[in-house]
Amino acid sequence: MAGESADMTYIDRREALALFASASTVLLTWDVRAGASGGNYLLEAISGPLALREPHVTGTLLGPEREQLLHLFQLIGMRWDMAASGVGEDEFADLVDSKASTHPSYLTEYREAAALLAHARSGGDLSGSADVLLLPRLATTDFATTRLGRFQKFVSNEFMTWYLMRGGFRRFGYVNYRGYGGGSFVDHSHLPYRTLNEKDQ
Amino acid sequence: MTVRRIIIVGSGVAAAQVATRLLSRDKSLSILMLEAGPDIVMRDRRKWQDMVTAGSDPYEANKETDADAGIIPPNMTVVGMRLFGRGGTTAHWGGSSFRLKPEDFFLHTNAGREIDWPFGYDTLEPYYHEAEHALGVEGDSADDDPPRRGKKYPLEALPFVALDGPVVTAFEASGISYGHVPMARSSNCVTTGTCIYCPVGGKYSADLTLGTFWDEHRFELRLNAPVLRVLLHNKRSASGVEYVDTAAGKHHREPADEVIICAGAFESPKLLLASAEPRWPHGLGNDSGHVGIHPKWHHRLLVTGTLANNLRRLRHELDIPTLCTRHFDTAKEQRLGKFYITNLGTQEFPRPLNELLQGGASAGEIDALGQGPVSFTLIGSQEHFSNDGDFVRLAPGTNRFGLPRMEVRVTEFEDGRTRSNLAAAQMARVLEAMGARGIRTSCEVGTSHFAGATRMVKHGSDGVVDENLAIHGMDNVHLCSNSVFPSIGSVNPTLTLVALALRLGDQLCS
Repeated sequence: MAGESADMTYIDRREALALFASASTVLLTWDVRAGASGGNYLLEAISGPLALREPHVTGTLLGPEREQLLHLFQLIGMRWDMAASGVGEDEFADLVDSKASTHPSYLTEYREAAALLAHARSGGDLSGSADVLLLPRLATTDFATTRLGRFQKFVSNEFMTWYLMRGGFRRFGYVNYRGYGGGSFVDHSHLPYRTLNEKDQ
Repeated sequence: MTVRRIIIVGSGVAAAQVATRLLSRDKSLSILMLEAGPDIVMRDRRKWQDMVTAGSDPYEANKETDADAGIIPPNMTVVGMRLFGRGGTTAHWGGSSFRLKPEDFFLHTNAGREIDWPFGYDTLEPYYHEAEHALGVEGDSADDDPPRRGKKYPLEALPFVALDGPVVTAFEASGISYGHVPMARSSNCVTTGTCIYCPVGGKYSADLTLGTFWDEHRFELRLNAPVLRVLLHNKRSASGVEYVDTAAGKHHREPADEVIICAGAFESPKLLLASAEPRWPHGLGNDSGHVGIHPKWHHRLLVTGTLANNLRRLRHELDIPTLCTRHFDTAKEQRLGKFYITNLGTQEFPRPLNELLQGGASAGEIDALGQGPVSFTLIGSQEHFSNDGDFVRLAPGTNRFGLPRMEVRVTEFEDGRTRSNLAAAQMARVLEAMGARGIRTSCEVGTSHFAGATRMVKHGSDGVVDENLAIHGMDNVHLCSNSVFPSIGSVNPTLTLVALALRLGDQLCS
């Protein structure tokens, strides 16, 4: 796993913040740029049921695809100021590999997501596009069935939950969280949660 | 050496515990365990990942559906509560492991309700201690109500979470005694808070016990093997069982010297009814007409109030309840029905934290929400008594596991609504003492810990099994499930069931 994660590239926190700050204008225009079909790329309706596409197709993501997904994961950390909470990127890579390589497979969804992210980055506006990509479009009819809606349901929303539970919760003042293995309770001198008789850790 | 062959119907906690006791005490027997459901894959990394990231149900393949369960009252939750498969329902149980109290064994004598157990707390007390070790229970060994007689839990009690602070203060201000919730946890627990599907086996589930039989040549477990009926030599003696291999669609008959039915609170009475034949025309052990009646259960009360703020950002960092009160689980409360209260804790903000992220709230907005008004919930478990006319019985057709569908009728007992209202009012007073406002109550009727439909009695005219869990009028068919409970008190019955299973194992070996 460690060798595979070497394929991934990492963005610098300052770079990302700068991109966030400067990109709002680009963002507003990016998602309405014409896609290959000439329509709205992000809000283009995707046919088929709202379920994982090709769940039987398992496999391994290519290096650039993995890099795009890791990039998204890092953006989530920065968007909610959780980047300093020590969430392991190896663990994230393990999650992605697990979901792509076992049934029901996310491989096709992840590949579509990587393509979407690459499309955004090719325009030089990915980090600025974070909100556009990550937030739901409540005003959009049938949003869940759009390319962006699917991306959020199967990819970005799950990554947010993973980031939060694997350590991002610390940003919000908690010591343990559902999904995080805080540690054993057997040694009462090092309990992995705030107790009645302790001040906040 | 003659091998004594025992068939155990079911593979849940009672089945696993009686099997482990039998195998350890009697080298001359062999066990065939027949489980209606498929395997339950535990500690699977991918299943856990899907549950925590996508909210998927790791037990979907092991649950009946609304369509195939049978005729269930709309106000009663059965579907999804019990699991069909290797290890049974303890795969997703919470783990609370309370003993009944001495007065629970004498409900009729004390309060004129139901019927007394054929023995008292003292008979079961040594087995309670063994059961706590079998399940790896953590608890407060100094808490002597009910009496522990100096015997310690295998693990020390989890210290109360910080979140319990406001409730403890309110209990003390209200003169309400409180204590720790004994929970079946092992030293493997790493406090993920995902106990419903533990990724590491840190919570007791019966599959862990079954896993210890892997090199036991005298033990065999067959999955996808619903038992259709018990077969007889004569009226007093069973000769084996008939089951169907649902994968192959073939029926089989298996001989046995002893049949132990550990099929749970619904399936155990159903199997007796399905075994009706000319010598037992109304069902096995049912000449007195008691099979399938006297059902009882626990109401679940949820009382919620809102605190003005949460400056310490308290939330349940364990997702295991640590605080409870059995202050209302006393002889004084028996006539209306006992209840006990646990601290369910805060609801996360207005919505769970991950949903706030997904909805687009900023980190600053989440900070503000985290310290703002917060709703706080107490959960009550209320003893419910059986009513004449309530029943569980067979319905036409089979469910997805090849078991007969069922028809269930349950009604509120005469004082049930009064009891629920009084209990909810008491819980509301605790919340008020915490400074909560906007208090609201919900009562989930008849949802958990169904029991009693083959009750244990001294005389066959009053029930179905005797004090040794043998069917009255039979020599070699025993029942071990919640269905044998004459009464259930207010607490989770699992520890008591395990104590009964261990005691049954000893009796069958003696």
